[in-house]
Amino acid sequence: MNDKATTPLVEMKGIVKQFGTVEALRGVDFRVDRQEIVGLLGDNGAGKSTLIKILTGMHTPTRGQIYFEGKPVFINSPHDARDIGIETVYQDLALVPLMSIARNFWLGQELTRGFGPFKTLNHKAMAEQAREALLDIGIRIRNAEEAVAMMSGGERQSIAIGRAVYFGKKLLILDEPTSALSVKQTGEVLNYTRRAKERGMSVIFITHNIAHVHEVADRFTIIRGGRKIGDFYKHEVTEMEVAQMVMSGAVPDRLKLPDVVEE
Amino acid sequence: MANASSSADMLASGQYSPERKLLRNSKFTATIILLVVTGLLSLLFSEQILTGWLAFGERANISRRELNLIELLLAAGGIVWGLLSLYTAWGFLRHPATPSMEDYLGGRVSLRSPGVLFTTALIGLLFAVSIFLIEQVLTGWLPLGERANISRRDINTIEWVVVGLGVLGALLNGRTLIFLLRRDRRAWAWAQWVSLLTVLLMMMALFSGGIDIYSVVPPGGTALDNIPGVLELVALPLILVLSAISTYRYLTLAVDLSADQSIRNRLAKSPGAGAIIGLAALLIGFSLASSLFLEPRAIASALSTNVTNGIVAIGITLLMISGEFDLSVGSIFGASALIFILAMTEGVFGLPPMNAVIAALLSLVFAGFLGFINGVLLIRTGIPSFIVTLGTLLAYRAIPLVLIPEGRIIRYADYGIPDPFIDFSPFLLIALLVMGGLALAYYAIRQLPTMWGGVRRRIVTYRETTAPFRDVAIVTSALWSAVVTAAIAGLALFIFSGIADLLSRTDEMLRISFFDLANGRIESLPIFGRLTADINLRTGVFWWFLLVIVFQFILTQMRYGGFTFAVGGNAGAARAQGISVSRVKITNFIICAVLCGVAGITFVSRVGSVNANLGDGLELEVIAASVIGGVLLTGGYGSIVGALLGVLIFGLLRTGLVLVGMDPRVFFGVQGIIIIVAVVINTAVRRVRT
Repeated sequence: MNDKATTPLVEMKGIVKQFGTVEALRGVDFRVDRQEIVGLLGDNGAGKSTLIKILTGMHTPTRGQIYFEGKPVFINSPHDARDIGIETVYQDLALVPLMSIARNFWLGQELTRGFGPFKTLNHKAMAEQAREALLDIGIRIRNAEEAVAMMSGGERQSIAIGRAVYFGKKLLILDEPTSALSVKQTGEVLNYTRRAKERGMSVIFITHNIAHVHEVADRFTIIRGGRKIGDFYKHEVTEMEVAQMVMSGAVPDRLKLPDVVEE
Repeated sequence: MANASSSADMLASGQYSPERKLLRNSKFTATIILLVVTGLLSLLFSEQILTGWLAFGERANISRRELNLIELLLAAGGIVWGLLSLYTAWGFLRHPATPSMEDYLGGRVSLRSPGVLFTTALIGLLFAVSIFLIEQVLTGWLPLGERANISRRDINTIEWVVVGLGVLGALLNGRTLIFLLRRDRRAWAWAQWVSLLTVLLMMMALFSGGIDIYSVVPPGGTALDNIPGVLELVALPLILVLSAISTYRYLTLAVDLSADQSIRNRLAKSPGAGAIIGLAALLIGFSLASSLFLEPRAIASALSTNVTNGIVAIGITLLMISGEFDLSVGSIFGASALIFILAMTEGVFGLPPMNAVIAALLSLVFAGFLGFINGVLLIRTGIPSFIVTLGTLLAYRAIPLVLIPEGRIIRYADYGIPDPFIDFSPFLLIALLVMGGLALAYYAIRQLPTMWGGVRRRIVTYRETTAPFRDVAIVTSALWSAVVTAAIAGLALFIFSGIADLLSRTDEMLRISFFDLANGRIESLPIFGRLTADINLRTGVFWWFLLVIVFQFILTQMRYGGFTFAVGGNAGAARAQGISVSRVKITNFIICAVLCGVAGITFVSRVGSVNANLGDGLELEVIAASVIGGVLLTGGYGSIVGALLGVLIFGLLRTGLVLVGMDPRVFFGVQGIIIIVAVVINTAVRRVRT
């Protein structure tokens, strides 16, 4: 099993997605290694959301194959994605505001007691375990029974991240997590992202703004007009160059890779 | 209200941070309202007592003992109290950022600032009043008994309630006073509790007939003879409404997370908080206005006539929590009631007339199918449920219009068929009772030792912990354990006697009318004994309440309830966590429709006839009741108990308006105003909370 460390966690090969006559993705290769934070960058409409929606089962690709831990997988619904260990944190869709932290934490996999159709929720255990689990990752909450609506945007993202870490997911997808947050809150979210990596998770961080992700990402994948511009490790490029590529799609000569040129 | 908002502006420019300002702002409004009203009322009361205008004097004559002392005490207390209240209100208005109890407790100000003085005096006075009240009741000085006779209810119960509340009030007030004098921070929480409890106590006193409005205007006189008395007529409802508002505001201000506020938090979080207070205000208002209102038959009829609405409201609430509407409930109700009655009499879908139980099941399946159509239409088309169900509202209405020839009314009695009976073996009932007994025993074995163990643990650790409410917790948990134990014992006794009774006549089949079972008149109740002929309490009320309990349980204690909240609160998040949003919504449409079918069965069982327009307009009334019960129109928030309260509010309002002699046609107007007020309050509360 020595290949376990070397096979990428996720590999998407030749992904094409057509909506009617519109081609949103024109053959994109994308991969995430183990314990790696990948910044997926692209301007609005570049195709990054489509790519991620394919990975999370919201769309099925027109062509192309997804490999998870080296094995080909077919992700046809968000349920499938969850089952293999992909957790997505959407900016607005992460939590239910009027429900408590604990209920949000356990949503869909509540702790129950009793048997058969008479299972009842174990509110106390859910509150205690949620509090402990979040504390374990460094997220301090006052009261797990508190409604999520009372929390700031950063706290909400953090709880969603903490939930993914707790449930032992392998891949965490953060969709524009920091675009509506203050600088301080952004820092907190990036902190928990790093901690998720330390716990063995891989993270895809989707954003159109390099400044949000430069600090934590190991590698950047840039998408534009349905094609991949390139993959760059952090030490290879400057923040400025990435921003340029996102905007214009022009790859600096020194970074041009053979396969990109070929196409 | 105008002065309150301007003071809020003044506050805004003051030294407080935004969150603190918000907190103070609403607290401030509530305080000012309460202060001014209590001040004016106290002065009014003392004036009335001194001049003998108020019938207090007359009643005190009856007691023939210590009359003057009591009157003087009351009058003096009233004057001091009134002046103090007005002084405090004035102080508040002049210095909006006046230091409050919190500042005092923090050691930042002296005792003499108006807010602090007022609170301390309030607590002290309440302490004295509580003691006074107990003493009077116990010694019979105050002729409470005779006044309570007016209300024709059991005098002893009221006296005991008053004594109990008095003791409780005295304990709380005394303790608060000690805290305040010691400058203990916990006093603040205590003070809030005490003021809330006091409002409740006052309401209780009003309930018991302690203040009788009718004797305010002297017999034979005109309103001009007793201007203060007339003012009091206006002032009493006013103070009730205002104290309800202030109580509500205090409760829902912001959820304070300190542990000693847990009950308040729970109330503040409860969607039904507004409905609870509204219902209390309504009960008190009408019971003051009409002596017939709290009569058993008025309550029984208010309950029995609302069984239909109540059952449908459960379904619609569940559906609204999951974020969808169903305007077609009235049509589904009418159609399934028709199917039920036709299936028993003429036969439907080409089937011959059938047994009532099968007909009932058929109508439920039919209703469920209609709900399923609603749900599938919604999910498949993605059109808002408002429009989809507006369409099906009309479409389903066609079913009875087609099936019933023009203008006809289908009456069960017209077919000359005897009422449907269900015959069953006593052994079936015995088996059911045994199963119930086993379930009860299981519950008792699991719960009782835990409960009493908890009480014991609280007593043992009393000295080691510092929780502020630990003594109250001991008393309440012991009381609650006792109540549960007694209830279990009572149920066990009931089951045993039932089994014994059934075993003595196992040779005959038991027979019960289906209509009586579904919604027949209840002849006697376990504790109340035989009900007189004018009390029309229906078995449907039992089914209604049972359904409320079952669905509230599902909603709060089971996974499906959580899914329902999540789907309504944020469908995307629910979907991301693997919850099938469409399945939950369709299921809720079906549940809602089946409950309409249940309502149809109870309706037919009671009335025995169906016309083509049955259930017309039901949807709006039911949605209104749910909204008053705290359901958010956008979904994700609400409770079934709230819906029950909403339906009760409407039911009691209708009965009450008739009893006070108001034109029943006004009812719609009042209903409309209440809905708007309820939605405004709910929205405001949610804004504060989020």
